[in-house]
Amino acid sequence: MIHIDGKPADAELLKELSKDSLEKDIINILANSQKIYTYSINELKFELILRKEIIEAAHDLNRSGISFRVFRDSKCNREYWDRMDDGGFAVKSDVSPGEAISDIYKNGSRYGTECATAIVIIYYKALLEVFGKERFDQLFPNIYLMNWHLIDNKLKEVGLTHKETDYLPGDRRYFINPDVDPITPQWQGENVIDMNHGLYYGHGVGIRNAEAMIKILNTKRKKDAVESAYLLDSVGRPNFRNLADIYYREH
Amino acid sequence: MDTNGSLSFLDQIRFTNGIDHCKTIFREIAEKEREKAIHYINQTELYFASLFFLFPEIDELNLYENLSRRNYIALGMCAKILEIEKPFLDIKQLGRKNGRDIPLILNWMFTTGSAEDGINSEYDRVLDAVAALLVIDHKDTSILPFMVNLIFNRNKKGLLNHDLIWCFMKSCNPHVLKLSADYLLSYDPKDVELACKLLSIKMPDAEEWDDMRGRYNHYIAWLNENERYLYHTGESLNLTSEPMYYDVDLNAKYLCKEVLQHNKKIGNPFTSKERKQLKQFLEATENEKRILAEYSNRIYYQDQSLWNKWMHLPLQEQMNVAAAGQGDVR
Repeated sequence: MIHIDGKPADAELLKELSKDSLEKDIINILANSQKIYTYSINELKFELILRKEIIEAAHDLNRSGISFRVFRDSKCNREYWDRMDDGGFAVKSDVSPGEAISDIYKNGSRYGTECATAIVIIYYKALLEVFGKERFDQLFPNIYLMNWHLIDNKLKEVGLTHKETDYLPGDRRYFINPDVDPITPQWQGENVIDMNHGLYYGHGVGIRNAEAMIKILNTKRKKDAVESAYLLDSVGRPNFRNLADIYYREH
Repeated sequence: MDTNGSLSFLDQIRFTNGIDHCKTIFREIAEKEREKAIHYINQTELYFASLFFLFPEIDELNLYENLSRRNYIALGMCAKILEIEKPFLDIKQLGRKNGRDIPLILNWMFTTGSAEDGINSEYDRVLDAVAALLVIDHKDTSILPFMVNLIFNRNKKGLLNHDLIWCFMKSCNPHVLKLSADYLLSYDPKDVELACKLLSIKMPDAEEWDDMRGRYNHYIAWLNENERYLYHTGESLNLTSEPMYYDVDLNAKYLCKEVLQHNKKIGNPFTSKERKQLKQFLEATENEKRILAEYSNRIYYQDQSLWNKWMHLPLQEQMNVAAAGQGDVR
């Protein structure tokens, strides 16, 4: 159930907000839930916009040509990023962080990293689209890309996972692979974005349904494996409310 | 590196004059006296690093057939881990678990090789994979102290340690927490910061830095109380920025039964009485479970007859006693 400003949301208002099928799907999940989701109208609008951009950014990253590489072999465009000794990328101090994120999408073949970092890139790209380059550069002056390590404070919640009543398009989910071959720890699990309609985007595996994701991970298990890969029931979400506060302060 | 013990000829050269010189000398000997070169490379005292760095020369001179089984398997492992195609190293036939000596060979690779950690990325990748095979596949816990040193050394240097942390924790051995806790006593704030992350405890406040011994003692007391009930959660740095690697199984703690690390299940089959006790325990709230489990464990070690009586009480009465912290249910 959705509450706006402390009251159950008006059906007409929700209909108005459901401008496209994705927004409609998100609102339906929220409205039909046992849980009460409390928003201001602006917060709900912002969450819908950002979730839409997250999915768009995942589609675009999938088409960008960025390769899957383990941290030891990670690569980046040195015009925008410094490749660090741990395999992470730190944005150069003399470039625009927004342009550096955009470059990953423009020159994807010059980049290679693991699945978690790809998800962080998606969140930054979505925020770049929502906030615009100038504001984004002010908000995120020191981007460090390396899984959930050293993630910006304003985005730290995506690095944390917790159980939720509902799963929504744009959520971060995780397929865990408990019996992974110890020689290939990069397949210990796949970080994914919920793309709606039962599909997930995972860097290195593309956009697939849960069954296909599990099938791929199961091929990466050790020989005497007994446990299948599976989708964890937890999610990672940015703090939409805080980000909305920042957004509306400027608009 | 302790070089006072019995060193192989090639290690002596490597320690004294460096890797490049060692490679040159080995090649010169092999070209003139092949048997002598084979003798040197197969010396039992050889450190893994020397073998690893002479891999290109061994390959070029095609010495595979003359390698000892230890060296042959070790290089086969390197080729597999680094995804190098080497027709002479038929690693498929090796099979990781074929041969009882495989764990011993992996152990040799890791224990004699870990001192050279950080020398290059490929070498570190091999060490990480060997460590993972040892602790996950072969349950070799003897290398855990070496691993914790590597993890903290790499952390100081800003090098990649995530894979090593992953397999260290996946060893499913709560002793890794004790090994990590030792770094709470370090004078280096980087060590303390990493130790806190591995132990899933908060960083010390400004005033707590002055009493890290107290903090360490507090953690060790907690670990001693809960070690039997800890299980590996499967969380990792790939999943979350704040993994909780081990957690307390409250059901196990309530019944005072150990958690088996290999399957995360509570040890020994339940008696009908235990099943009944667990059933009522599961009806409690999470907070009540914590209180009940803690109380149960405490009195179990103080007075087992008292514990038996308490365990026979209905849940609400158990809770009343536990919440009041009373020790007497007579």
